[in-house]
Order: sequence, then C-alpha cells, then structure tokens
Amino acid sequence: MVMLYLNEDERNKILIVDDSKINRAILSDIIEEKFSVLEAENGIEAMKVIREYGNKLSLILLDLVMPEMDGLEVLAAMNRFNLINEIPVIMISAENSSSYIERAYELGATDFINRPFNVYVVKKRIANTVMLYSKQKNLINLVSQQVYEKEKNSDLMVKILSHIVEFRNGESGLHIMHVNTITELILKQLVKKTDKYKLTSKDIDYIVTASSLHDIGKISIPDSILNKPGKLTAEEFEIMKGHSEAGAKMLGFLTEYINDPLIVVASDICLYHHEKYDGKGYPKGLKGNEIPISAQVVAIADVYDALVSERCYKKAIPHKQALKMICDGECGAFNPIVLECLCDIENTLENEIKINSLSHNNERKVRKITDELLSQSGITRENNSINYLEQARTTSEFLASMSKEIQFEYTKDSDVLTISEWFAQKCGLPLVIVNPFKNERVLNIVNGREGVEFFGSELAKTAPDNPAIEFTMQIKIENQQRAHRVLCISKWNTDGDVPVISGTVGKLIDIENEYQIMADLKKQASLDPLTSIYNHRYCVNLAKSKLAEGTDLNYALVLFDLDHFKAANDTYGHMFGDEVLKTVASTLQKLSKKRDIVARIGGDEFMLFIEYRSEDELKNKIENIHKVINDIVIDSYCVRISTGISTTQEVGYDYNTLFNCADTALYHSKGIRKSVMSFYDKDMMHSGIKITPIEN
Amino acid sequence: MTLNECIAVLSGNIDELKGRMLSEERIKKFLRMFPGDTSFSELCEAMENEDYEAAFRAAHTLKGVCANLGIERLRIKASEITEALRGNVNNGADEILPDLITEYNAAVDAINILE
Repeated sequence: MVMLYLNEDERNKILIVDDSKINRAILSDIIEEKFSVLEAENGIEAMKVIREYGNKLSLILLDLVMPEMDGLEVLAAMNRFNLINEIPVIMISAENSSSYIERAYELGATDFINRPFNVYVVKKRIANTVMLYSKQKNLINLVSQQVYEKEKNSDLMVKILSHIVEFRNGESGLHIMHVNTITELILKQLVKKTDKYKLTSKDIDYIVTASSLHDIGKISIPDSILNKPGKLTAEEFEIMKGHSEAGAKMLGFLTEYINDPLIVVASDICLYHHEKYDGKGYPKGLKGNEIPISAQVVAIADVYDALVSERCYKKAIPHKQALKMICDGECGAFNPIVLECLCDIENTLENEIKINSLSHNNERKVRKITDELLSQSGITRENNSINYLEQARTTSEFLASMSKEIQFEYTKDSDVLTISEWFAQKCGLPLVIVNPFKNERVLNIVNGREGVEFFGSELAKTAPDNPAIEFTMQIKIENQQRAHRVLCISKWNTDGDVPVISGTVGKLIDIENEYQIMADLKKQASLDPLTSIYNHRYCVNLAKSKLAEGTDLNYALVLFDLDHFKAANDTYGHMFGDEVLKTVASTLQKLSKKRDIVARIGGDEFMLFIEYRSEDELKNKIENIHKVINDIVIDSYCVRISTGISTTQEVGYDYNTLFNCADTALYHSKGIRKSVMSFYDKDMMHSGIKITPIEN
Repeated sequence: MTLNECIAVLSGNIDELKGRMLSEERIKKFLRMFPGDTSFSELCEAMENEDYEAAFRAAHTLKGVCANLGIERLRIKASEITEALRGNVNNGADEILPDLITEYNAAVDAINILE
C-alpha cells in the first residue's frame, strides 16, 4: 500500500483510454486524488502515450469499443512491444459480450470493470492492481538487474577472450600476464609524472584489463605463419600485420558490449598497439599523441616482454640490454614520457615479472602431461603444434586454478579432450582424455550421448568467420545437475575446399543460482507476494481451464471480502494489516482441499474456486469457512468477512458470469449488514441493490 | 428540478446511482456534461451516411455514458440500437432511431433544468 502514499510529483501514472469525454472525466474524477492521470481518446493516441511512458505507467484503463484502434488492438500492440507484462490493463466497457471479454483476457488484460461504474469498486480495483503490480515489478526489476549484470560482466568476456588468444597463439599466457603487469606499472608512474592524459584510476583499471586482449586478432592468422619458428617472409609479415585490425573488428562483433568502456579501450589497444610515435607503425601510421595513450603504453610493455622472453624463434635478452635497445630506438619510436616511465620503474619491473612467473612444480606437471599425450597419440615432440599445446596448457592450467572455472579444449583429429585441473579433480578425470565420448564418466557429466549431440548441434551453428557461440546446458558434477552457460569458439580446418570444424575451445560457467532465481521468479509471478497464495490472474486461468473441461462437475466461485479492513490498517498500521491478510490466506488454504483454488484477487479480497457434489455439502463447507474466519482474533482485532457465492448450477459455466454473480452476491452481503454470506440468485440483478460505501 | 426529480424523469434508480457515484455533486457535475457529449450527434450523422461501423461505435459509447449517469430510458434505446447495429449492419436500427431521438431530447431537456 506504500505506493499509494507517495509525494505529489511521484504519484503513479494512470492512462485512461476512452472515446467518450464524459467517461474519461468520470474516471479521472474518481482517481485523480491519488494518481496522476493521462488521457487518450482512441487506441492510436493511447499507443503514443504507452510507447512514450512505457512501464512508467502504473496502470491503463482501457475502453473496448473505440474509433481508429480499439481496445483489443491496443492489447495486441502491447503484446508486440512486450509491454503487456509490465503494465497492468483493466478493461472498462459496457460491452458484455463474453467473446470480447475472453479475448481481452487472452491478450493479457488484468481485470475487467463493467459499466455502469461503481466509484467504490473502481477505486478499489485500481488501488489493488497498482499495489500488486508495483511490488511484483520491483521484485522483477531487482532480480533481472542482477542477472543481467552477471551475464554482461565484461570482465568475464575479457577472460574468455584472452583465454582463447592464449590457447590459439604460440605465445605463452605468461606474456599476457607480463603485459598486464608492465602496463599497470607504467600507467601508475605516468600519472605521477603528468596529468596530461587525465587518467583516472578507473581508466587505468580498464587499460590494464583490456591489455590482455592486445593480440586477440592473432586468432585470424593462419597457424603456419603464427607459429613459424624462423623469420617471416615479407608477404607473411604483411598477413601478420593484419592482426591489429582483425582484433578491433572481432571486438566490434560483440554487439552487446559495443559501448562498454572496457571494450572501447580494448579496441583502441588492439588497433593501435603497433603504431609508432614517429608515425612509422601500422596499420594507420598515426603520430605522437594521435595514438591513444592506452595503446602507447601497451605497445611498450609488449615490446619489452617480447625481448626479455624466450620465443620459438629467439633467445631471451637480459633486462638491462632490452631496456637499452628500447631507449636507443631499436624497436621503433616511443613517446619520450612513456619511455621515461619505463626507465623509472626499471627495478620494480624485473622483480615483479619474476614473481609473476609460474612455479617449477607447474612446469614439471606440464612436461608430464605433454609426455603422456605424446605417448598416447604418437605425435613427435618436434611437432610445432605440440609446442603450442604445451604452452597453452600452462596458461590454461594457471588461469583455471585461479578462477575455478571449467575450461576445455577438444581436438577432433586426435580425439582428445583437455580440461582444467579444478574440473578434472572434481570429476575424478585426468586432465587429458583420449576418446572422450567413449568415456563413461565424461558421458555422465554431459548426461549421455544426448548431451554430446546437443553440444555438437550448437557448435554446428558456428562458421569460420563467426566461430563464437553461447548456450546453456545441464552439467552433472558430483552427482548434482547444474545449469551451465557454455561459451566457446569452434576451431576450423580450412585446408580443404570446404572448411570443417576441427575442434572447440571454451569454458563453462555455473549459472544454476541465477537459473533458480529465474525459476523462483516465474513462480512468484503466479503467487501473490504477500500471502503466497495464487494471484488473480493465475487463478482465473486455472478456474477457466477447469470450467472448460466439461459440465459433469459442479463448481462454486466464492468471494470473500474483509470488512473494515482499511480501518484496521489505519488503526494498527500496515504491518498489522499484512498480518491479517496472511492469516486469512493461510486459514483459507488450510480449510480447502488440495484441488481447490485459493487466491488473493485484490487488496482484501480472496477467492475460492471449488468443486462440489451437492448444494448442502457446499453450503456446509462455505458456512464453516465463513465462520472460522469470522472467529479469528488477532491481538484483540476481530477479523470480519463478507462472502458471496455463485455456482455453475445456478449461472452456468462461463467464468466471467460466475465471477460477476459472486461479486453481486458479495456486494449484496456487504449491503445487508456485512459479515454475512449470500448465494447469488437472479433477483439480485434486478433489485437495484444499494451498495453502501464502506471504505472509500 | 432537483436531482431526484431529474433522475425520476430519466427513469434512473436514484438509490443505485448514489450508491455507485457516492456523491450527488458528482452525479450533477457529469449530468451537466451530458448535453455536450458528441456520441448522439455522431450516431445520427453515421446513420445518415449509412456508416454502420461508426454508428455502432457511437451507439455503444452513448449506451455506456447513459449507463454511468442513470439516463435509463435513453440507455435502453441506445442498447437496442447497439444490438441492431452489431456486426456493422443495419438490422432494424432505422426503426429504433426516432424513439432514441425522442428520448435523447427529453433527457437533455430534463438535464438543462437541473438545479
């Protein structure tokens, strides 16, 4: 109810759509005290307002029959724009043809109010609907925001991308770590020296993280060039140079992240990390500070680490000598101030990089795995690809042990699956599995052949120029089924005429918790958040499906309405009011059978939809419920309800008729003296029942 | 003419109306708006033009407005003509129209002398 007592300017907005000015004026008059009112005189105008305000509208009161675009068409359009689940719509019409009403419900209308308006009923229905929806909307916003943030976490994206780079590139993952470290050291020194580049600590974070991706474009470079042991020919070098632009282009494919600051920085780094300060670099030949500072710093870090590391085509150069070579311009021109920074941090640099190296223990393990693999697959150690695999394993193992992520690589030719250490331990599997799809334990993890085939069918959706794919599948770890997000790229063999998938590399992220939240949310959507019994919309659908099953069974629709509830709220506070509602809901639940439908259909209105055999049985049962609830006392507050009942025997199997008749009976009960129960009978309709306003 | 007298002329149920609208002031306020409502003239014009789709909509609107304001005799005629026009055909609407016009004029006359 909190929502109804907001400040003037924060009042909930309600859109009234009706072609009659008088009708709009009446509705507006009824609600403008508590809501801010917008008006539209036909469907087209309504859609303009709906598109403009979106879910800032708390409610729409919608007439059915209108010129230009009628109420059903508005509902249909709201479905198209996915707004129907966000904005509750109450249909208002003198139209009592049930096919219209049926169709409106099908299209997602929340409720129906018939003309002539009853001011009290209109006020109450609107307040209830707005209140229920606000709570639900807040909840949904909260959770979806969390899930979205997690999914969109670009750090994660960077991790997988850099992981892919390492797997694929001939260079060790250590190089990437070193570039990270050096970049950070230089940037921190740079901001001490000058504020020319206006770098905040957030900017530095971004640049450091994004530096992992500087060589991501190398994925597009053929193996034969990328891992060539000797010097590249001029032609090969030209191809190699393409990796700068290829990297930026790849990041451009990540449409969801395209404006993410991290990805923007990463694109700059990819594209410009081979530019030189004197304009002699590639691909653009930018000069001086035309080159983004992020790329300038990463470039120098990249060059330094390349010099001091051993590569398949060269030996490691000592630290001092490497520094001298860079300062003397042997590796191209750099920004003098960045060079100064590099020299300033000289001592720290050497130590930091040593600390960040892998332990000997890990290296021995890698050697062992490689040897094991060699003996199994009969490939010679001289083979360059083994060299690459060894380096890749080092990297992946290191990253995996840090992150506890599940990483995997599968190579089709050798039919070998490699998995990260943490995952292997959890599942009691070796790190390297030959013929994995004949391995019982592997099959168990992916839930049998079906899992393998599903994976394969997802992978088949990729193409050489668009190898990345993301999907969700169930993974069984330690006998627990958990939903995992699979992020991977397909590897392609392009030697033949038609490219074929040669394997895949990627990782699994446990999203079971997020999955559960979504499942709970779906359940929440059918339940009233306060009382945990069904909400109106859900119970309407359930009741309708029962009524549609045929006319063999008798059903009764019973409406209960708390008397003087607002007084209780005002006197004892909303917390107490909520307590009363919860107690009534749980009492109703207790007194009804499992196949009965118990729902909260509004603020203090409850509904029971039950099957019965004889009228006597029904009467006894409802009398009992009515009495038990009227005997409830909470902290000396006596709960009182009025009850209205309609039956299929009396009014037939149309849901809306049943509901309206029970409603009529309920207001009859309220009109008499409250806290009584009434069965609907035909005379009520014509007696011009006087409805006493009670809680307006 | 008092509100009670006016509603009696319109054959409305004053108790029911007060029960729904909660205040006499509200009823009077909107009754006074009724002569300015365009649905009646739209209905007549659409009938003239034999545009039964527009006529149905206007009749439907008129019916709703009358129901809200307790203008019962006109509401009955509006309801009849709505049904005669349902499906955008003229299923005897012509015959109902003169009675409807009579009722409309009577209603407007009564409302115009409301205190």
